[in-house]
Amino acid sequence: MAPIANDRRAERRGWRRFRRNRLASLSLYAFLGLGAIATAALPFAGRWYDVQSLDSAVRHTPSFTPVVAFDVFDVECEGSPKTGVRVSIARLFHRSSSWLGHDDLGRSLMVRLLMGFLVSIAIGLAAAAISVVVSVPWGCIAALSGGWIDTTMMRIVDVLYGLPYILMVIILKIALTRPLAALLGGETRFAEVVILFIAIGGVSWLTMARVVRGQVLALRDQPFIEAARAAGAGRLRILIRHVLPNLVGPVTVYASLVIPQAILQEAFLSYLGIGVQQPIPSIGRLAADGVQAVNTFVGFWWLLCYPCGLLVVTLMALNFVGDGLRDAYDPKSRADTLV
Amino acid sequence: MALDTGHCDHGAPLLEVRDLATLFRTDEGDIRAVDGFSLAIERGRTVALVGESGCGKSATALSIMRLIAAPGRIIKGSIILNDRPDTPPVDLLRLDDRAMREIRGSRIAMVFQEPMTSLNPVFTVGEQIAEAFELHTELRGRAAMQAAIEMLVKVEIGAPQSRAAAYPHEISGGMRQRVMIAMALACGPSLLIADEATTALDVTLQMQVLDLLREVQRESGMSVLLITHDLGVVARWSDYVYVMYAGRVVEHAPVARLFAKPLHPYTRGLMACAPRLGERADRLQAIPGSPPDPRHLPSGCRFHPRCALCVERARDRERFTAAPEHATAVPLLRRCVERFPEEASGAPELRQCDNDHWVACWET
Amino acid sequence: MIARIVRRLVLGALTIVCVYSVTFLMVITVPGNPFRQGERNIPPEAEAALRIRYNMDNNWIYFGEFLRGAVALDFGPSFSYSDWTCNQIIADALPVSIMLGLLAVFLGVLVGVPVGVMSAVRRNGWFDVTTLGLVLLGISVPTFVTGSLLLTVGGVYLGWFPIGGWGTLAHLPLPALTLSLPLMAYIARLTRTGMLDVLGADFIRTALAKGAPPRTVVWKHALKVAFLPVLSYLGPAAAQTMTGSFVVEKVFGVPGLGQHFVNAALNHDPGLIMSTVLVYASILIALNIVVDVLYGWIDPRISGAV
Ligand SMILES: Nc1ncnc2c1ncn2[C@@H]1O[C@H](COP(=O)(O)OP(=O)(O)OP(=O)(O)O)[C@@H](O)[C@H]1O
Ligand code: SF4
Ligand SMILES: [Mg+2]
Repeated sequence: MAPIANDRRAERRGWRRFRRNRLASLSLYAFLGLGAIATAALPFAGRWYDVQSLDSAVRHTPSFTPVVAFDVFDVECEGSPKTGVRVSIARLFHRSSSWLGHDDLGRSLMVRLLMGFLVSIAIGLAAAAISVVVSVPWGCIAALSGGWIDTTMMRIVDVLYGLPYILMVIILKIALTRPLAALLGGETRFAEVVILFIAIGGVSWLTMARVVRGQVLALRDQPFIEAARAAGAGRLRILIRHVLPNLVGPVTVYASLVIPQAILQEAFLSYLGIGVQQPIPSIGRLAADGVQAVNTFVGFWWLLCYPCGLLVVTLMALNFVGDGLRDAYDPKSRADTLV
Repeated sequence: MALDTGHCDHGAPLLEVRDLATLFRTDEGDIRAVDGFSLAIERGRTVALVGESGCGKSATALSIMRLIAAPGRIIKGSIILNDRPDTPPVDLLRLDDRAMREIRGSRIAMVFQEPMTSLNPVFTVGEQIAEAFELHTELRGRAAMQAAIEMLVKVEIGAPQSRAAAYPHEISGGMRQRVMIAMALACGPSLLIADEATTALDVTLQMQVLDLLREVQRESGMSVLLITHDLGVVARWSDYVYVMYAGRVVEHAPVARLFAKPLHPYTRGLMACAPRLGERADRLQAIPGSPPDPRHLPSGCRFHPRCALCVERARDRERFTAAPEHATAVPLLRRCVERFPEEASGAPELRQCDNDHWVACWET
Repeated sequence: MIARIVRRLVLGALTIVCVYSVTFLMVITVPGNPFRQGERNIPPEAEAALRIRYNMDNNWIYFGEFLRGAVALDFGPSFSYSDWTCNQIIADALPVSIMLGLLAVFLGVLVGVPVGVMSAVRRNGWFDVTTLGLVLLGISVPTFVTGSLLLTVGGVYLGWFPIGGWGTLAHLPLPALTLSLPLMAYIARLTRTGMLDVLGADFIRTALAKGAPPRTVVWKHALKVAFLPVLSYLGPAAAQTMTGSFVVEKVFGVPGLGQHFVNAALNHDPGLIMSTVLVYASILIALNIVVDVLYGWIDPRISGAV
């Protein structure tokens, strides 16, 4: 993954190559589309995701009733009777909420999936953001300082690698719960989510720190950096003008692969019962709950199938996007060959 | 067409390439790396192929080996190999893959330019040479390795036993190129294609390696296709020369004649800037202008945008036209620029100007 | 080579000590009291006595004593499994996890490498596109879903495998397969990328020019180089797989080590936390050294450097 040149052209070329990759761009659009729907539904979903309805009138199985999203009514208009139409998004929302069925507490699965999608994406994005924020300075400082600073910083990464992942997440969670809840004014519900951000992000920066360091080391010996140094550019200037722009490609690629990983990790934690806490949904949490539900009664298929479907679609789309980005910025892997 | 390359009157040549065309399909357009190329190689001779970088020398060599990679394709022509008295001549382009594999490495072998990357880093030198024996002879295992060590002796590598056990990164560049040669010579090929085999080496090593090649050639009677930039190498180590420009042969003649009396303006340009023997010349630059963009080859004679002769003749005879694709609009000979229906390719064909001296230019 | 291994061993030992120190630091700073959990509520005097008994009244002494015990492979008592020592717990669970893990890694390599090679050779063909989809599916579906699915199909509907319990050979395939699916996917992907890099190399052309058939070129010349990234990945991946996965253990009721990582942390069991971490770190480092040696054996270029 060697940088091609110290200019924006390479980036634009990469982006063009990415867009030519049909699978990757399709995945990106699909993902953005899902995100748009979920965001549009947030005002309702935020209010309804935890509304239970235990009365027997609620049908738990999915029902694909067509939605009539408008009212037809008669009005008196300037003396003559007319028919009016009133479009109602709220109505659309309420009608469609039974499409994917309800869970054992009578909560609409669709509403919870829409909400859970956003929570999962938030976890993924936060983990990626934390990884980037920690690993880029870490890798840059280590590579540019060299000597014992480099050795020490990379040994620290080695040591953290030696700690088992799950255990670290749990311990971080336990350690952070109380202080963070205090910080957020006793709102433990969201403190839990924020802790998940930190815990998952806090363990995913290690690989990226190694990547960044390797990249900076490779960059350091590039002719244009040497030229800049010869021209008397200071360390900071070289870092900002020459090194950081060339890190954008590889860091984007790795960050885009951290997002699906973090979402999957959260799913595992949810299965262990230490992911996001009730009643907040995440796709992973819903899938994990679905597994339990189907284990008790296979008739609850929709509680497993829909969350799993969404999880798989989301993760595959994100992975395709990440792969597409990597291929676009690393043309080596598309070499034409004899065999 | 068929007679274009008949520079020798007695007997069929060992290898005869006729009207070869190789195309690379890229996103930015088709590249006609080799286009209407013909060549003949006699038994036991060293034939040189010279030309500027990008003129299609490697593409020609790889076409002969049928090793053109994915976006590339050989679209027409024939490559007749006639190396064995007891077997009839074969057209390499009509062989199936299996038959072609049997020819590669045993009857036609190739040495590549990059000695650093052309050897597999994770196998020992001996293993890589021995593999050639295992592929084409009855030798296996220990016997193949023994034969490989003998090959190392033949290419004058000291301590062949221990060198055979070395990995490519453990030996020097010159040594690596000798290993490549040993590998190519292993099965006694009738034709060796050396694609800039010595360009990456320094002068002394280059001379040693070429002398070694000549030595082996004298013993075994094989032919060599020597691809190079370096006219000094051509003058000293070859018998016959083909000059290539933009995928076509523009002139060919025995080496002494060509150096005594180059006819094509391009060849003269090359000679004018030829470094003295042994000096390294990665790029021949004295000819003004640069090689044409292979995606948009000039009409008529492909050399006309850079041809001094064309300008000169146009002035003398006042038969000129403004070349439309040239901003400078220098007066040029219409004949050089335009495409004529009677010339199949639109470019001047090779004509015999002297005994066994052929040139593709209107004005000589 | 020997010097290199020794050097790595010393470095590894240092790393393990650092890992231990970090874990210890976390154990004593994280809120939670091993002696007060759930219904187990002992009076303060008794707690003080217990703390003295287990060297836990003074952190420095505890740090030293536990380390000394660990060096002698004695990890002391567990506080959450009251009648067990950590040694007993690990001796019970680790072999199970190692066996399952080895099986999974073996399966992963056995399937992943050929699939990766084939999809690189037929890149963009239907095989490549199909496997790319399957690979991403393998990476995207969480193991608790695949595991449950396999158990339902293979255990409940087909009845080929036992649903509960542990101890017979028939119990192995389903959890091993579940564990190996993501491994297969990653390995296939790494192999494919590696092969694509290698297949464009000059030495591949040399091999073909020698007259070697494509099969030999791909499986001998190219794969030996393209396997290197897979090998590097296998070190940490095998360590993780061989120390157990809580999810797979929960789905299939496997008495492996994975559950203890989670339970130790959740129950705040200092002895068990530190001993499982030490086991994990040692296996990881040992495997990394093995991988390193193998790497140097396959690729002689790097055996000089560290
Ligand atoms: N794989 C490829 N894809 C696209 N174009 C190619 C490819 N290989 C060669 N070409 C094009 O074919 C033309 C001839 O290339 P070739 O390598 O034969 O030149 P050459 O005469 O050997 O030059 P050099 O002296 O630099 O080795 C060039 O214009 C090059 O751009
Ligand atoms: S044909 Fe015309 S352009 Fe071509 S080499 Fe001869 S004089 Fe020059
Ligand atoms: Mg070439």
